[in-house]
Amino acid sequence: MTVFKNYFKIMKQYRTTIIIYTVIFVALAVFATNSGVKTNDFTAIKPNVAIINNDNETVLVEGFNDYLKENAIIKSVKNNEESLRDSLFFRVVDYILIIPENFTEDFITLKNPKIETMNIPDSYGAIYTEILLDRFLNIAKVYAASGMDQEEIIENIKIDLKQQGEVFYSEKTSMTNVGYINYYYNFSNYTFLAISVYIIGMIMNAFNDTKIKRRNLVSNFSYKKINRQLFAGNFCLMLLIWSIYVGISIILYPKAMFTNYGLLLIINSLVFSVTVLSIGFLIGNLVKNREATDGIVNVIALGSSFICGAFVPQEFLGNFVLSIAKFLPSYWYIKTNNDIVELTNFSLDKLGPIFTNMIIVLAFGVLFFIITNIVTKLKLKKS
Amino acid sequence: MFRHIFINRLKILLRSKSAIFWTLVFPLVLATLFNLAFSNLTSSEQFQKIDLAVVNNESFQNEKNFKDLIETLSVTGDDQLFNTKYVDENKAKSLLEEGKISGYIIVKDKIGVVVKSNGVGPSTIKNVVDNYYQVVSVINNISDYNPEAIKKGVLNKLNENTSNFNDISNKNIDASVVYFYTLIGMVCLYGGAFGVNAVVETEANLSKKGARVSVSPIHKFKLLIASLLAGFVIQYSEVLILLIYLVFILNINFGSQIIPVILLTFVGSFAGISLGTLIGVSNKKSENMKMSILISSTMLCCFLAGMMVLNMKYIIADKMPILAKINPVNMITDGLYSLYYYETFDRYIYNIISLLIFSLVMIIISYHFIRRKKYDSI
Repeated sequence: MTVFKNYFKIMKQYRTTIIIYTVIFVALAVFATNSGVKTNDFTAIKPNVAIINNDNETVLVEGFNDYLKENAIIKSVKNNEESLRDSLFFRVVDYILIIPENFTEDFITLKNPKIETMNIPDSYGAIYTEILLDRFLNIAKVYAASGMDQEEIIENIKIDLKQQGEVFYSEKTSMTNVGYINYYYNFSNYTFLAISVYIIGMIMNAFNDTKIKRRNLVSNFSYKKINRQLFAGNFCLMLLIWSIYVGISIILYPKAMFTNYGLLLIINSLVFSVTVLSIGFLIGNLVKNREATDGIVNVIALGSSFICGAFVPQEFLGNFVLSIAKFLPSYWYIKTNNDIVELTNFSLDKLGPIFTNMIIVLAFGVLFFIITNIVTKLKLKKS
Repeated sequence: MFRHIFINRLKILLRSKSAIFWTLVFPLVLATLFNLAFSNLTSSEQFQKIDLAVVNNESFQNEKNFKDLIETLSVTGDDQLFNTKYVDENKAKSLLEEGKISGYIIVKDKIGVVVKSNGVGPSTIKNVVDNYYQVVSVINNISDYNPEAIKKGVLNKLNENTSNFNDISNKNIDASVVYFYTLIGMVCLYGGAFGVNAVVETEANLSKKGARVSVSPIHKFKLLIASLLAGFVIQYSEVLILLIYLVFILNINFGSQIIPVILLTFVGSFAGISLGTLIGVSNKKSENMKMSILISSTMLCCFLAGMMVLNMKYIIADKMPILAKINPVNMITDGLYSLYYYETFDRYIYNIISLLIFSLVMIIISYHFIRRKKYDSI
């Protein structure tokens, strides 16, 4: 156990760096989850709309406003052109309406006034909002043409809009919070890789210093034994990082985490952390130079996160990208996360594919560990 | 002498592998990754026809007007809303289960919509059904109120094609370009690495090399400026390489004019070098530590400018405008964004001036650290 104990001595030396690094990346994950989930939610049933009214507060405009409040989320945006256009560009709103002066009067007198709009051309938000708006305006137009005044129009429209078809849900929809934990655990691909490869690389460097290495090699420990103990040390470290990450998810999203979804996500992330560990171990053994480790960490963590769907959901990635991603464990890990939250029941035949994916992830881990041993052996022969 | 220092500094910097990696290779890799990840993002926003199934039972056949409505909405063309399949109930159920359709319509006593979850597809289907009932209600209301009007054909207005809107939206609205703009901001600031390096190797109290050159009979500022200039030349060339890669290989849209982009990145690189200089002179930490400060502060700026989460740029500008105004990465990103999205140059010029002020502040503070330092012994 000499090596194993020594591992923790070195780890103590790097205490501050490890803590700072962990805090930064976990904070990043939390921050990204809380602001990132909505960004990718193109399926919201209520579009975000901003209205600028240049007409007076007439009954018609009020009625129109009430209708929108019911069917859309009204966002208040500063009434200047730049703020408006910025909010549209960054998808804070899907649709901007500018009601012109004298709109009500022109509308009642059938002059067909036009509402100025800004939207994201041909997007779901734009087309869906337009359907909603057209419904109100077209009905109002018919009423105006048949001679009603404002009050009568609004009154009648209210009656009309109560007429609705029936909606049935084929199955219970999953809780809203699941989206958050899904994103948070997908993001862990970045967090785990960045933290562990960096820290493991740092500690392994201490062991890989040429003089220390030579000293270790003349001892009666075989390289396999040393590797195993180092791996065990790294495993404890990884377990610590993993439990912090999981702990925070439980604190932040307790409702969603104390479910079968949460449990499966935790198991999946544990499996993945073992694979991450062996990736870190391999890199720590391959790369001697600290600066080079920095570069490799970033390329691996960011690269796999981007192309495997940790940042941008897999469904939005192109087929070409995904077919490359399939060669990486991150893809299978994130795919499993997504499959887990899609589950509608927890029967064995539904869970089967999920556990198969976990085995694939683990197989990558074993592969990397074997490669590490081969690499160390080759290096031994060389020296 | 100036030329001698300049050329030798160029050689030294070009040979420093890690600096070149961070300021050139890494951004190119990131740009490629962004491109892979975001290439489908805009098209995923695009409206796709909604897959719908209708249970083709007797009640549906009897509800003639509704049947016509669905058929009209399913005619292939620009106005097509639905891809409709007419099936029996079991088939509809299994299609929904497999996720092949957004929902299905079943007519019993009333028209019902069966869906799996909420979303644009299900909501649109429901809207169409609702609308059908509402039109019926409209007809009833009008025939109560003014039966004459129906004869005059007011109902045609319901399906009239005259638009209620005047669309004034901008066509340049691909939000993913901002990721690439923040990337340029990042490279500009990473160039600060050359500033850090120049300072460390000329300041006597920071490195042995610095001590050595300080005893040479050259004015210190001449030395420093030659080093900084060499760093700037390398950095700006790297920014241009990245720009060429973005424009010609990845086809990123930078708006219609390229000259303002080149100018902005020039000023941005300058801001980066001056930030690096300040980080270099302001403390006595090791060069590695200084690099970490530079890289982590740059990353923080990038994050706040929207590199990881796009909305962040808007949220910061909206909620904490001061933070957006002092963030150099945001100045560069915002400048490029305004070139892409706005027709006028006001905002662009504002950002250029902000960057110049930022650089000036950095240089003035740095100058106060450097000037009049003499050592009897170190």
